[in-house]
Amino acid sequence: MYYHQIQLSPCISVRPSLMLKPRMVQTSGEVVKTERRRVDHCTRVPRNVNLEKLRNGYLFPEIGMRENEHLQKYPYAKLISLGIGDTTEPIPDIITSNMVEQAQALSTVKGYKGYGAEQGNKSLRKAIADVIYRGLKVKDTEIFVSDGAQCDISRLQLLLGSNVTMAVQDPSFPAYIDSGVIIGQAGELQEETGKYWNIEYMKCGPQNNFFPDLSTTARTDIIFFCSPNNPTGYAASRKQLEQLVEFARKNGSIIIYDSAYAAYISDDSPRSIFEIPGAREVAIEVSSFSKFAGFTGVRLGWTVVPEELCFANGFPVIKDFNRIVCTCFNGASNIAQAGGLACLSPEGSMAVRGVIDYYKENARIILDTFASLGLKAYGGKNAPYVWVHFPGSSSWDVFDEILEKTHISTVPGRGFGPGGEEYIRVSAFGHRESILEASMRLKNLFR
Amino acid sequence: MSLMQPSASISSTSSAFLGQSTNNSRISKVSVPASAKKNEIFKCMATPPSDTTVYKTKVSRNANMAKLQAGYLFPEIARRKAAHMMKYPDAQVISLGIGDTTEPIPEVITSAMAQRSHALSTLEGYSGYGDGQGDKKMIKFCWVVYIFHIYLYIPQPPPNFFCKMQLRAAIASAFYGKLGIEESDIFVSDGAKCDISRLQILLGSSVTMAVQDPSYPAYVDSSVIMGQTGQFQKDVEKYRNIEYMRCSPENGFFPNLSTVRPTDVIFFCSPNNPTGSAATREQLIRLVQFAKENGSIIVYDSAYAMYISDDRPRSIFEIPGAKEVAIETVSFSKYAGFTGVRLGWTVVPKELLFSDGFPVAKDFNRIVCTCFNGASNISQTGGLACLSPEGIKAMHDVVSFYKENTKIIMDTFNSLGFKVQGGEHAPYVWVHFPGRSSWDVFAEILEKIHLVTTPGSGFGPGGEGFIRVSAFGHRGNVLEACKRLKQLYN
Repeated sequence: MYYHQIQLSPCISVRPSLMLKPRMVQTSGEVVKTERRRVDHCTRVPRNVNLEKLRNGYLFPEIGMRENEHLQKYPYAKLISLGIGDTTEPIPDIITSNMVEQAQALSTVKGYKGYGAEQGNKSLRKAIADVIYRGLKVKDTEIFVSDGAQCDISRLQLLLGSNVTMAVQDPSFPAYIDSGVIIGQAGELQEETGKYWNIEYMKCGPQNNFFPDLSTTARTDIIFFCSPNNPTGYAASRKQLEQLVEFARKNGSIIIYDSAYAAYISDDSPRSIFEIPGAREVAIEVSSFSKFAGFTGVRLGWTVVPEELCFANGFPVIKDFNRIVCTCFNGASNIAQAGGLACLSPEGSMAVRGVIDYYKENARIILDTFASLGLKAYGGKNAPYVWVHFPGSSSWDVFDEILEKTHISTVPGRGFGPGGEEYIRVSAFGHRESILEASMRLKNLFR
Repeated sequence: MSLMQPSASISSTSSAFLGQSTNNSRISKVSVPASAKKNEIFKCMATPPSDTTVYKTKVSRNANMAKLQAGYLFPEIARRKAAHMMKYPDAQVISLGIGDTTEPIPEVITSAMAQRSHALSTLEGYSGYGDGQGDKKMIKFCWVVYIFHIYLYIPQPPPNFFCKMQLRAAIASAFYGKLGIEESDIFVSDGAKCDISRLQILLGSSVTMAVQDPSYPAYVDSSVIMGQTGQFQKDVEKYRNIEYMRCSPENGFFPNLSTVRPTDVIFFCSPNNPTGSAATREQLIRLVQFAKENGSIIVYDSAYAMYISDDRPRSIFEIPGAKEVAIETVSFSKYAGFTGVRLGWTVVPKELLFSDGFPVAKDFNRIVCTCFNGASNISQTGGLACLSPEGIKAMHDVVSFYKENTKIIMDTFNSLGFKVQGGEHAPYVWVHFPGRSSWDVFAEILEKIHLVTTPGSGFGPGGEGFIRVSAFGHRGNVLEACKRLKQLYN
């Protein structure tokens, strides 16, 4: 990733020369000095005004850059990454062997496969319906296999278009807001509050038990809701989700329910929005193999669009989403899909459970660490994230301090929205020894 | 037990998979919200026959989606094929319709993907999200494979191959070596079709676009979805606001640029899908000049460049000045049979700037970071193997095979007296049926000789009167198809 600091000069009429100011930039740990470059030509294509509304880069590459800068500064430091929620433990053999088999089969006449259905392999769609949504009447034809939830969120935004209004939890996974801005739903950014004009921010904090006060929430067309939540780790209760479904129903809204962390739930909180009666007519669910199968690099997820879900004119949402998927996508990799199928087999599920439990134990260790230091820490029980409160502090300052003093990277809460200020997200993905080492360092710092 | 078949005993898995809660408890604990209407809540369980209340949200359908006239072209072809097979269950239907590769991927490539898959279950070989750490692990993995090769006496790629191990670097070197395109200009993706939509998201709804007519349907369809177009005009079969650049036998399948209205964006595919025509250096110089004069951006689709038979350009960046006006999108699909594996790339040169001087690559990077999360690491390892010396040779062999198919198909139509285009620089043959509806010809060929093709009008009004025959198929099927065509049209 690179970045030029440029002198923005109007380039509209006759092509004036543009001098690009040189700037030291850091990318992937290398320091690259940009050259002074004379450019004779600007196109006349206007920059997309929606991109201009994004003030910073996407949150997680920013964290990555800061880690690299830190490593430049302290080349011998053992950096522990509890920032970007990236899985670390190997994928169980029972799953990868299926992917090996599929890869090898592609070299045989009998086993070769070209284009798959854009919606995904029938066997995988069926397995998702049968295993993940068992007893919930979700049909395989309502499941769209994808290359991951982040990609699906943008495809859903393409589907919905720029004229819909959206609500998000505050704090929330940044892709909901950023994709909304890019599509043109968000309006202008108010610098003072850090909020976009047209977005309804549903504050979630300890004061309201991390569930928004729906009685003070304005009606919007779309409601993004993530549970178990990234970054707070809170899983909504059945009662709360019933309220949410009712709220959506009353307002004619569509919930986009992100259940990527459902496999981390420890209690009887719902694992799918479709456990709630009436949800089929108001909700889309997005999920992913990333965090339960270690597929962050393999790339596999799915979205459920129930047949009953209709636009105001009665047109089924599933028909339009299918059109988007056929036009803007070409299916998840067949090798990744073979891996997904293995995850959902009896043996695969057991193996995957083992890895999830490993991360949950990490989360417990982290939670205990902060608790022992007298800091208020939330989450960690139903999600692989711990949400730690540093009252009165700027979250970027706390992030900097922790990184500088203990060589641990975390994520400043402000990156997830104004509601994240004063909080730090600590992710529980890591080798056990790193987690224990991090715990020790944090105790030394905050004692 | 082979895990590639759905498990028969899936029913017992969910409680282990999801944790403590059993299946039955998921529904039995449900309570009914008091305020909900009775008949709607219980609709799914016991709907009274007379109840026709259908709940609708109050969310307006995206008006852009409503502009699309029909489904995407290729699923429609698949649907017709499936319907035909139901009608004639014993017919040997041959598919030369959807351009789907059929030949196995060379082992040098799949073995790399198999090894990477296996490595994901090891501590040293596991990698998560793509950038940074992922690349480092790939380098480590490649060294492991290299040493492994030594012990198994498998022919090794020369050591210097491992000096440039990252995929972007390999692409830059293999395809753009002397063209001044750097690693940092390259964005690896899960394929050209997906990249086209991401480019549309980047450009936004306020830009105007031009396409060749006929052209690959994703350009027009994605433009409609983004809101760049007006309504579809049934009489001319065109969307308002799109500039259709006719490519026909009359103009040698290169648009007459002097009659083309300037637009912000120009989609240009060469070698062309569906016509198979490949632009000459002189033509591309004119195109770049045209774009420069009008301040336009060319989105150049060179997914079939390896099929070129002579020395015409394989990349837009062979043309001087192109870096300031063009983006190039390419794919491993048709070179390595990666249609199902999913891998491609887009080049956005640093020199390409919006009207305010802002670098297009910076915005594209933001789109890629926000709306995408990288191509599958296994696919990327496959791509890297494709670009080893052995892999490049293997890709050329695959391409040659399909080119031989194309020649057989071309010769067949020529011998039958048809006017054909393409086939020399692309795996498509564009056959003229003057005065006939292309959907009628498609239906006739399917009905009479059980051969699937693609009707030209599916690619735009300029495709009417033409049929696209794709050259992807087993040799036996291609020969059989040609035999049947000779019987039909003799």
